[in-house]
Amino acid sequence: MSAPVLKVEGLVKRFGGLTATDHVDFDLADGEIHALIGPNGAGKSTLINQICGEMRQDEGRILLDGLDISGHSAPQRAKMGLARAFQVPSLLNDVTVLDNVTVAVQIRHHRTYRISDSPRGRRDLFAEAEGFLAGTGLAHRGDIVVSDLSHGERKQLELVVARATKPRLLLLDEPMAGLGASESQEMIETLSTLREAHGILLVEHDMDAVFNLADRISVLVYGRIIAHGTVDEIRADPEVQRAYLGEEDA
Amino acid sequence: MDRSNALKTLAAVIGLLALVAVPIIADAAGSTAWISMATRILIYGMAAASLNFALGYGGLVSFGHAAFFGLGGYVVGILYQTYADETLLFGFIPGTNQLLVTLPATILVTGIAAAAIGALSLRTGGVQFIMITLAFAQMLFFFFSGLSAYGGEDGLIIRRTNELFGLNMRDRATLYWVTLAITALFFVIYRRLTMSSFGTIVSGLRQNERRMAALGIEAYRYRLIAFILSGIGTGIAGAMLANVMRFTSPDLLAWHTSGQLMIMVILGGVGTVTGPFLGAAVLLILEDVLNAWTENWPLILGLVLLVVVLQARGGLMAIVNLVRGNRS
Ligand SMILES: Nc1ncnc2c1ncn2[C@@H]1O[C@H](COP(=O)(O)OP(=O)(O)OP(=O)(O)O)[C@@H](O)[C@H]1O
Ligand SMILES: [Mg+2]
Repeated sequence: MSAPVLKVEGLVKRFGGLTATDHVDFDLADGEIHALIGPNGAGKSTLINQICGEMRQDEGRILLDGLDISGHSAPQRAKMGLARAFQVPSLLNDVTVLDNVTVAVQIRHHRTYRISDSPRGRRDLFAEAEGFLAGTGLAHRGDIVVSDLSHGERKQLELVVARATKPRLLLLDEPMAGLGASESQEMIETLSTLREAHGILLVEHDMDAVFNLADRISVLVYGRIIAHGTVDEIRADPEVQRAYLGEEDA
Repeated sequence: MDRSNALKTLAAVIGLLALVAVPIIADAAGSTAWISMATRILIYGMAAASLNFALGYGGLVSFGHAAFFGLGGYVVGILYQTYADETLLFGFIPGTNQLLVTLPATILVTGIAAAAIGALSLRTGGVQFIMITLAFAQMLFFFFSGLSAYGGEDGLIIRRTNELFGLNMRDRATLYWVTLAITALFFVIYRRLTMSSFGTIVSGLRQNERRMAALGIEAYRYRLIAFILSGIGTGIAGAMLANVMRFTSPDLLAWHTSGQLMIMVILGGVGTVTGPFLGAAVLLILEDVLNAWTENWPLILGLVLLVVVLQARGGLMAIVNLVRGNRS
């Protein structure tokens, strides 16, 4: 495996008395899926928020290609190749599915300051955006306004928009949550094809998906990484069984 | 699609011809007052449309656009007075009565003012933004009210309308057609802007700033540019109003002018391209009609506004689209 692209060192985030991130070390390499699992409230989304720059950590460092990006804003980090899909879909709700993807494409092409290009002049952007929708469950839903989409469709759109930025790393916060069985299966297939091009940080409660996809797994409980290893190591870890997997026997 | 485009083009051509014909029809009907009314509608339409770009597309609820409207008026007024007095403004700027100079000067002055006001106001958001933009406009209102060299509270009379290509600008119809030409040019640029790549980013920021940040967009600089463009458009409208009224006064800078522009936007349809022009037409005509009819006109106007806003979310444009939809 190649050297890590993203490195998180000794990260701490406190909300009042609660330590939501407790000296977390984490890394992610090109071409791997590193799953982050843990019970509700463990601090998974909080960790992603800090990596993306939406929240500032209290202690520790975040390195991208060896560069300390702790002081960079969220937009700067996005431009450096960090793309995220939100746990609760956060999209442009007044415009269509295709418009949402097109915005991501135009930003990647730095086409954000042109004040007089017509829709016809933006046709290349729309065409490229169509390309990202092709082959997904949203291929024929491009004209639908986002506020008319189902929850599952919005989750899928989150991923398409993130991909349309052609990022180096994808940070996915529970991409399967709220998807139907067949949608989940499609998502698993999509993610397994995506791993070749991107490093993926995958936060997910769906254990089938995690065990299916992950190269490595880290287990987060009360803000601390309590275990880290391959799928087989994590499955066999008694502490993980007790602290996390055991709770989920359904 | 081609057919509906052809229909749209046809409708636009007919609409433009009707607008061009206004002075001729008014003359034939013996109501020359219509010409001034139509001229004012075009001007207020430009101001409201400019506000709409910030407010409707960008989600920047400015309650201070009177500042740019009034500044545009004072650029024309002060340059004219300097020209008439044959003095130099600030000791080095000669005056002028040429529209081809006063309009670019308006763009420069209102652009700088919008950059300064926007740069400070946009550090805040929500209600604070509304209050700060209002505060800046009020500051300018008091500044010009006290500026006795240029009329102070009484305002500034502009003896002659700016000249353009040797046209007879004293003729109301000519002035209307000049205003119409400027409005048409304005409309083409404004419509393009709303659909442009930049416009898409600005409206994306209104819808979801968090999403746009995750895609790499620093909100501040885009909003600032949007605010500047919006201020310039309103300034041009103010410059034209001063030319048409041959007068400018602190009234144009007062908070109720900001409110009036805002009502035009809301009445016509927030975030629609043509809505603000429709809103300007309806508001100005209603004011005129009700004013002649009863002195309680503001009350009745308020009720009309209430009905339109409650009945048709999205303003008059929503009603227009409804009618269009039923027809096809
Ligand atoms: N902005 C905030 N202010 C205060 N507390 C917060 C904030 N964000 C998160 N928390 C708290 O931090 C803890 C971690 O929350 P977080 O959302 O990161 O958990 P999670 O692992 O993503 O959970 P889930 O699986 O439910 O999404 C929770 O106790 C939460 O209540
Ligand atoms: Mg979460």
